[in-house]
Amino acid sequence: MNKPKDKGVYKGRKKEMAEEIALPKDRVFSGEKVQVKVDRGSSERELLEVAQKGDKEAYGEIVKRYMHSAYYIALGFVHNQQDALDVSQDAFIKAFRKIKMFDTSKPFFPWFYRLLKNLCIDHLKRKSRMRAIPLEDVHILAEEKKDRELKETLWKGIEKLPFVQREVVILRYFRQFSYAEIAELIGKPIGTVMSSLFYAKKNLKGIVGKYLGFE
Amino acid sequence: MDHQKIKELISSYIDGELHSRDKQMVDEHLKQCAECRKEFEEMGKFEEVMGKMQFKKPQKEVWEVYWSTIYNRLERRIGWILLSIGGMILLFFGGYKAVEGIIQDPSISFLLKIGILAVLGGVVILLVSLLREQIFVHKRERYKEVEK
Repeated sequence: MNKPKDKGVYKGRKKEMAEEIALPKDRVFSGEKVQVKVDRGSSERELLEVAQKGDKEAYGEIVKRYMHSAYYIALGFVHNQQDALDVSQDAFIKAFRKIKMFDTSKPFFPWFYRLLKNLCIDHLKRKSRMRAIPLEDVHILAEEKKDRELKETLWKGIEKLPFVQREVVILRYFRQFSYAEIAELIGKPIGTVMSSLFYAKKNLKGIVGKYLGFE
Repeated sequence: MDHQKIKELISSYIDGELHSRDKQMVDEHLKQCAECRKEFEEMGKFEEVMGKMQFKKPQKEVWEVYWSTIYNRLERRIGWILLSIGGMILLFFGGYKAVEGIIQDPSISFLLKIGILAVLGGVVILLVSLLREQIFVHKRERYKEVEK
């Protein structure tokens, strides 16, 4: 019997996220009336309150914290690197324009995620690009080349999943969010996340079963 | 406990998202159910493959210029707004001067003056109407703060 999934597989994102928030220390950003000394310990709330006064530098620190997640989530939806870059940057621009409406007592990313998701959906509608992601955009380690066909099939399967299932798969497997985080991001109960992931896995398992020796 | 429910729990178990009480229940069930044990093993293999799927990282430079690209676009927006306001002022001022010139020019026949002024008047009314509609729709949109 296999052991439950080793949490170590998520270390990649943790390391990446640690790099994301490794900000230069002792920078001083001046808002219109407020001066906030920003270092890596600055809270998101402090930064957002300064950003709400129009301070782009403070907002820049928020962008740097979340740009990786924004980009990779967009890539999961829009299928190619350039479009993912454009859409994720558009989302940050849109968020800055609406920043005064944001309630700083709440976390930024779930609010931002909804803007990003809507832009991704608009992008897909506009471009009608429901085609499969080119495999070149999916990272494959050199020693795993023999698995190329399996992964290609798997990715095509992900593309064909109903939207909510695809969304939870992207958030879970490509950004390693916990169930609770996914529930907050998509604005649905944990039970829905649990069952959406289960059905997504069931569908995908059925598609790649022959490669993995399932009957 | 039905197998379907256990299979759902197995998915969360493997993801490390199950509470100890449910975990214990799944463990107990697995000891006596071959069908669910098979599901557990398959799900484990599947997770291994999924765990290795990841997107190719973009060039390092992408991250270096990511924020500056956004910053420049935010800055440029102010430029575009100023340009648009300036353009509108020039357009209206030019239009006003043109109308004044046409009215005062004795060499232009009365009928032609009426025609030109009607065209210009129509353009102004259409522009104002469009502008008003945009403002009205924005103000009355009940769900404008809701991201659909």
